Amino acid sequence: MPLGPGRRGVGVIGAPVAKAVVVGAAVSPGPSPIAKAAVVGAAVSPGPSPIAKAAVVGAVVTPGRRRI
Amino acid sequence: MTERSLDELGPVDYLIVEFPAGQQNFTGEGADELLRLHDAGIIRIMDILILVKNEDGSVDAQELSDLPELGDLQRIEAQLAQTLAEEDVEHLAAAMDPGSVAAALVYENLWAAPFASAMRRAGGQLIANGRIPIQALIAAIEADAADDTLEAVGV
Repeated sequence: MPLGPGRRGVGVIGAPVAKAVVVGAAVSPGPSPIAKAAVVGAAVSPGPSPIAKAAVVGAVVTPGRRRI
Repeated sequence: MTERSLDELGPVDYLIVEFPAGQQNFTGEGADELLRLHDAGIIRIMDILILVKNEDGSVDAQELSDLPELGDLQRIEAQLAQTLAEEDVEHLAAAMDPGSVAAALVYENLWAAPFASAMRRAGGQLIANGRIPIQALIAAIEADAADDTLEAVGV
């Protein structure tokens, strides 16, 4: 069934989504690089709510894991 | 939607819940809990699409309004914004197995909106966020416990 005209236009997801993987093994203890997100513009979504989109612009390193 | 400025918006997330072919259930306990969160003002459901990924990889998307059998979920249909575009359907379906059925949900975290607004007013900017799987937390704690045990015996 085709979607209606309200579904045309710029998307908000940005890239194909990968299936989430369930982590069963121990995570590495060191610092893990995570992507730094930045607001790149106020893209107007097809609906009535304009939402800012985030994009990956670089990599930063987080501090090491803190013992709980 | 009540008139609110962009600055007052809470963080907006999406998620996809996949069911094997023929086993989808969008009307049971899960739907009740989702509506409870929406009705309590903890989240605001912004958009819902039901996605069917065929065995050949093609994807069919259906609006809530196309599926009257979804029961109580139907009552929020008039409040939804069409946040997801056609190209989003392809992006979201990339994570689905052929033959599966999924619900794609976009929602605003209303509970976080006052904190997010306050941080923006203070000059802060979100530079990263994410979710830590419970399994990863358990594995990390177990790894720490194993390290402590080795240290205690002098290894």
